[in-house]
Amino acid sequence: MTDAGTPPADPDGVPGELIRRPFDRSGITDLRHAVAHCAAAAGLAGQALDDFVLVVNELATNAVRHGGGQGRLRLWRADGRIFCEIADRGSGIAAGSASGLDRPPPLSAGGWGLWLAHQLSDHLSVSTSPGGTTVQISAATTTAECGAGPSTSE
Amino acid sequence: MSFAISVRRQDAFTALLLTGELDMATAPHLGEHVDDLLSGGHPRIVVDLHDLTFCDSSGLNAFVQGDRRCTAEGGWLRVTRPRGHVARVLELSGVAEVLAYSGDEA
Repeated sequence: MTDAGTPPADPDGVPGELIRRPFDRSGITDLRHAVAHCAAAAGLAGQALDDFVLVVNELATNAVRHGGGQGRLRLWRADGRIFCEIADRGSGIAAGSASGLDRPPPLSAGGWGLWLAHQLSDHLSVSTSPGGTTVQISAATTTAECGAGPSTSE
Repeated sequence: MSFAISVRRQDAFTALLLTGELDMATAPHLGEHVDDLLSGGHPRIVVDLHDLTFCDSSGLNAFVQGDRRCTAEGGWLRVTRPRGHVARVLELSGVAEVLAYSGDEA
């Protein structure tokens, strides 16, 4: 586990929150499993579930690789959707860097993460500045139940 | 252990059988195995994905970079038998088109 103590109270906290935790390179796999568990319990299944989990994984990987080595993840549900926000405190996405909208050439090494994230999510928004990058994704769910995930807060 | 690699030497190539999940944490292990085979003079590698349950961009990078290193030594790296979401990621990315094992490799 990579949880570093109790996270501070956040005024943005919402009642449907499922996971709130920091992560780093060593915690990526556990984080992905926790998100998969909660997203499945929230009603995502099959390809939609696998796609959602891969997108979260890619965004968390980007945070570790380009965003200062660590990040914070928040997963919550609201209005029949499941939301995930991944934030880092890196130096932001430089203007002119790959948008992630064009598929890299098949034999390119690198550039896949953001492209896959765009490709496999039906909603993705990016907010970036020299103080860090925050990406939010969401997907429609079929039920509103989520059992206690391995890392639910509170 | 969420990831394991077993090695099977065959006449025409070396097979690497991947089990588990290939991500940022485990992809370096694949790179190390490729390097070991190259330094042992075995630049033709088929990576069997039948028992791989997850592959992300780190995995794609490991396949592409592995093929580059094998090509530089006169060989190749190919992938075979992807299933489920692993097959979806390989096809979406286009990596399946260029690195799928066909049996016709020289």
